[in-house]
Amino acid sequence: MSITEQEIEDSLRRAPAPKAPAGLKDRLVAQVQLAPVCRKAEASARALDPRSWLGRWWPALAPTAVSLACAMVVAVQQMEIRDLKQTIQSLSQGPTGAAAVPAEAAVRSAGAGSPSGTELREIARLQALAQRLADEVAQLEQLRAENGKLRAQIAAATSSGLSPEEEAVLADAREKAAAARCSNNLMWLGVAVRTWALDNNGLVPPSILCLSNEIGTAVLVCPSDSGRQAATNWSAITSANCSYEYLGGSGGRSDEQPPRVLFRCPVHGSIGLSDGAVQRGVAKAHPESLVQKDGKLYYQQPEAQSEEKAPPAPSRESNRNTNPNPNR
Amino acid sequence: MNNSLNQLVEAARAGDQTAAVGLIEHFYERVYAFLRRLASNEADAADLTQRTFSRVWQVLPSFAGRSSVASWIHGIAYHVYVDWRRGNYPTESRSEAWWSACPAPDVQPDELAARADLAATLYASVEQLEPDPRESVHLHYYQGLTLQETAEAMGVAVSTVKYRLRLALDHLHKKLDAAQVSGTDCPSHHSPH
Repeated sequence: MSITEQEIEDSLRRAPAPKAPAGLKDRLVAQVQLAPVCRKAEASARALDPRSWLGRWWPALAPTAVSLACAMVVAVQQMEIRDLKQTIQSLSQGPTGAAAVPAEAAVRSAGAGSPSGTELREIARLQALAQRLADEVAQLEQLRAENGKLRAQIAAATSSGLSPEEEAVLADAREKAAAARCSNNLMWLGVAVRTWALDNNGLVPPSILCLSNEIGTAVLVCPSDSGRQAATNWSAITSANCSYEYLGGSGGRSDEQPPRVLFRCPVHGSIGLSDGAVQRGVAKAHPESLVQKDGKLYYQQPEAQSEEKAPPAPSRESNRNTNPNPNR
Repeated sequence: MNNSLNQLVEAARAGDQTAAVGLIEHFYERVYAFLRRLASNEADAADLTQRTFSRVWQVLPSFAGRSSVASWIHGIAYHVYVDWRRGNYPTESRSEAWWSACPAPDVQPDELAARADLAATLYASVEQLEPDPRESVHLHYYQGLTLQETAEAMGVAVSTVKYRLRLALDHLHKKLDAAQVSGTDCPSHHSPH
């Protein structure tokens, strides 16, 4: 027969209790040491003790104190901001407002009673005077602004020394001078080609580099081509030192008719012909005058223009009687 | 009972020596029995009892009355015992002969004759439990504390006490069943030659 859990618990509850030895109670009584404490006095002492009070409430008091301090600071700042706004508003009213203040002060100083007619007239006169002064101040401000504007214009004019119209005329003259120098360069290049042809059975040079014995490097750069500079010698020439296109690379003779286009300026559109002539601006103004034949470019002067003998744009320049080599 | 004990405590806090003696008379035998079952000998149990009451007088001003007086004093005794046990004082298990020499006062002679062997085995098995379940059994069953008082004395939750007691009862149940089976198989177990 198995023992039940209830029987186990009952047995445990009925466990024998060892008897205390004799004299234990006396020893326990003898060692009693009580510290008499008055509970009310202790409680009141606890309540009045600032350390215990603070120790209990400081987690709540500290944030509250900080919040109150912040609120006070914000309130003081708001008051100061309001005073400043009022000051700014009174100052922004200008002389009119400033004039109005003494008028109001005069009215107030007249007393609580009704002002006399003389005082009212004096007030009106002073207000009119203040208004007139304000108008004068405004006119002076306007004159000062106009004066400043004129000073700025004078300073701008003296910095360049010329008026805009004069600057435009000068720029136009400079451009014309550059175009003339470009045409002169093309003319000297044509002379150089013809000189080279005399030594080579009338043929045109296959490359512009073949002209190194006939002409200098300065004529290879158009004056209006600011992106290129003249080379110091022919051995250092690159595409950065030559503004003109050489169109005679396909060979041929220099005495062909109609005259063949050997050089072309991409800036001005001027062309240099195989007979030494130069047509200024033809490539841009009359591109139809340039005819392509057998891989070569020829110039054909319009018949109408040749019959009338008054070409409007292109101007034919002869080089037969000029010095062939300016750089030497 | 609780009110009278609380009045004794209040009087003792106020410095009443008679009230302190009343507390000693009410609790010293229970405390001694509790410590004697756990300690190895009478001298240690008496010493621990004196330490317990010395500690009671020290902490008496801080007693707030949130627990019963019994659980409070048993808690002090329990912690005094734990401190003493941690001080490298090995405890020796109470043998069945020791338990047989401690007859329960409220048990009838015929019942005692019938259950003496089984009870001695039961109490000896309690001593073989792990410390926490064993001390829970001591406080709850031997000392008669409620589950709440036991939990307060040990400083743990009531659910923890229930769990420890459940472990202890299961272990004891198995032990007793094994002892009964071995006694049935070997009739000469309880009648040595």
